[in-house]
Amino acid sequence: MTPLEAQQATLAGEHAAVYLLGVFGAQASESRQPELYARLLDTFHVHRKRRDQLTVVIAAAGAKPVAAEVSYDLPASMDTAPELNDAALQVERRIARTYGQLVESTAGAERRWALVALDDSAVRQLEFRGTPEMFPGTS
Amino acid sequence: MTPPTRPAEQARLSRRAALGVGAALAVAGVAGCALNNPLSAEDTPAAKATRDLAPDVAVAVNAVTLIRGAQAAVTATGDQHPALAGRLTGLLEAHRAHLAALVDAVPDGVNTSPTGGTPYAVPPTGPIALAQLTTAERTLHDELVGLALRAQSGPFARLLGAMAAALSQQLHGLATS
Repeated sequence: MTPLEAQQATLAGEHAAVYLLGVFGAQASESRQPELYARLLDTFHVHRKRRDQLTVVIAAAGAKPVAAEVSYDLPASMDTAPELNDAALQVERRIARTYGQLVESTAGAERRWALVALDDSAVRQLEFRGTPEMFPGTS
Repeated sequence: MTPPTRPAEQARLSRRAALGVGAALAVAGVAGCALNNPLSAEDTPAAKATRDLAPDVAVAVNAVTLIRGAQAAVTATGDQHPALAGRLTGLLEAHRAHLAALVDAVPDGVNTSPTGGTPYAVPPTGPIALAQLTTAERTLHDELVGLALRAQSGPFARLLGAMAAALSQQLHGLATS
């Protein structure tokens, strides 16, 4: 995978993450589930920022940033706080793999950026009650 | 805290694929040499030999040396402060898994003993010992990120980045437990 292909794949992943986290945040109740709501909102902001950064980087390289899909598959059920939490955890696990691929496919400053994102995603998984892994972002 | 077996195996295979050729060449080049800690000083025979290794093998040697040092520090801290030992289990498991993923890439004859055999000094009080260990693990994390940036093989860089991310998870757990 070329660096540009990996960046485009990561951007596609971030498009999905932004969409899904927006839906999860809309499903959560700020008053009844304040901690979950705050985590979802913070995570949404992080992924939106990364999506925008990738868009700029790809465009600066002379390529057309991949566009978002019209919609994405949602979890079967998002009725409860645990379901929303688990859904957000799955998003983080998937995006960590994407950043692992970006680390693998880039070098220099681009790889450093991907390493920071991978690190953040690994820790964010714990905030969504994930368990520590030996090699986050590799499977 | 349970380490997933399949990801570790995949990472090992990935690392083998990344380093196989380089490691074979390096083994041929340094077999029989007695080398010290390659990180101790730039002008030592070990440092020169490490520089002469295939680039990613040198990175692997550095990583193993650093992780062994960290492993010794965690073990010593747990031994001296048994009350902390339970909280350090995940960290030790991570170090073991990471060493297992790297050890085949280190050529025979390369000494990866941490810091030239100097034992890790554990502070006498538990909270200070934990704080010092946390600082040491953060340093290891940063070193692994640096090695991931140096690695020429993409899959190997990913493996090192994953190790750093695993340490971040463990440090987060230590801070919140």
